[in-house]
Amino acid sequence: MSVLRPILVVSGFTLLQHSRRKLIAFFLIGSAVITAGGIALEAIQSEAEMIFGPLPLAGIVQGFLSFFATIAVLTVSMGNFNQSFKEGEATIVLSRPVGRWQYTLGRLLASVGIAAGLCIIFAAEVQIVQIVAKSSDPGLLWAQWGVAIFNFSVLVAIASLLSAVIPVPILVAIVGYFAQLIIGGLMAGHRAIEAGGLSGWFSKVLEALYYITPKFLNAPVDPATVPAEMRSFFGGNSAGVVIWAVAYLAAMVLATIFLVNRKEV
Amino acid sequence: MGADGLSIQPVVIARGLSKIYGRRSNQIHALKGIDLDIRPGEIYGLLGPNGAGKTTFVKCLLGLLRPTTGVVEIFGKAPSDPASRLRVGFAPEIVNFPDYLSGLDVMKLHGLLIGMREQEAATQGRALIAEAELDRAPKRVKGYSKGMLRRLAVAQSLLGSPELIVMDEPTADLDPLGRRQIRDKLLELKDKGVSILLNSHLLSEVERVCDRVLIIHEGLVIASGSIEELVPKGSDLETVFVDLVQQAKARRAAG
Repeated sequence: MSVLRPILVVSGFTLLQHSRRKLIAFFLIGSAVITAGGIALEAIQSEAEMIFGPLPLAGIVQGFLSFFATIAVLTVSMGNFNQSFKEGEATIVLSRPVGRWQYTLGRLLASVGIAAGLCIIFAAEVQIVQIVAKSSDPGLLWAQWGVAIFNFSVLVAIASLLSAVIPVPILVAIVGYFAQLIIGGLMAGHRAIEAGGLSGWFSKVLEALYYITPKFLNAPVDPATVPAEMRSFFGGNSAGVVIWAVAYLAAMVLATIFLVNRKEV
Repeated sequence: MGADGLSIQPVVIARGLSKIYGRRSNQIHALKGIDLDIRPGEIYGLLGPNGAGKTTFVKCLLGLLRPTTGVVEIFGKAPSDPASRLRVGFAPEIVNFPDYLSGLDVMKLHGLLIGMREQEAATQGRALIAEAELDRAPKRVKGYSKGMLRRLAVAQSLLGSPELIVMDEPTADLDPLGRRQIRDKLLELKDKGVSILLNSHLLSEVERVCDRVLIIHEGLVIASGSIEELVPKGSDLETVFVDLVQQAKARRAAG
């Protein structure tokens, strides 16, 4: 039997299980409501403009949906290795010819699959709002959500790693959410240090933390709206950055495999 | 030795199997040097009071727990090798399947994990579901009663015609009819040459179906042998079991 087969089978059935949960339906319906809200806002755009000025509708919808996706990703990953082991779901699968590393990769892959699926659906919804708002830039939009798929994969890895250590799923989601915010803060701090905006002992602590934490990729930005000197600050992902981000992601996956391997059923 | 003069390789071998839970300050010796062999085509009963270490033994056997010392082999392979479980079915004591899957999905999942094709897993899964009288069960496992879950657990352990089936309390949560069906199934499997490790508290069932038993108390073997060897005429396994456990407790209390 191929070594990939158990990974794909575990992944496929975990995906099937997640896809039938009401929570996923909630995220899909919720995102549709947000999209409809964005479109409705476009209809009253001219009146709203008199009060608020021009509304960046697609940006607002994208912001809401990104937050939604974050919560959805944490929800599907928070119980990956604590709940499944505690409730005995893992026991029965691992009694089959399935290695723990295969089970771990299968579960991770399923969470990444959900994250990618949601990103594609959410990107399509933002695209609809963009078309209605006549501010379409499909290339940039899909590039941004493409980067989001990678970043949500990092978040899946963080939450899964935490779920191999922290026994309570909701605590995993909370710690994972704050870990994501802290990593984002450290990345912004690192960019500020590189731009010469920060120095002293604080910057040294920040740099040390930056080098030991996982990395997200920067979302591509619209060159037309961001000054040239700011582009690398917000939107530049050099090959080096990408390699480091992938290396940290791989390290987290390996650490999760190690922890799940040590877990007693 | 077999009838042809060749030695029969046991399906399961355990030698000096010990398992210690916890760290230095708070250690629990769950198993203390268990030895056993399960031969092809026999039903082997693993008995003991609650907390005796039966489930720990089963988990060590299936590679779910690492033994602290000692050796255990299934079909000549270490349980840490996933391939050792290719010909093994397992019905656990605590049944928990992914609750949004249907009974047939569970069968397909386990069929695919042992290398069956999807169509084959579905066909065999449907037949086993019908045999377990679950064809009218709720669509999702989430809606199953405890008895239905137990039946599904036993049904999935039979997928792919395994050569060894490990059953941990297979008749718990079942009504008398269900218990009889399981008993008949065990005897049918034995006739087909399947080896079964049966972990059960229902000693009357064990007495009826098992060829040999191993009785453990606080991780130690206190008796082993065939039912005929252990149970004197006019007595029953339950009486023998209670006597042995009480003697073991008395010995422990006496230091």
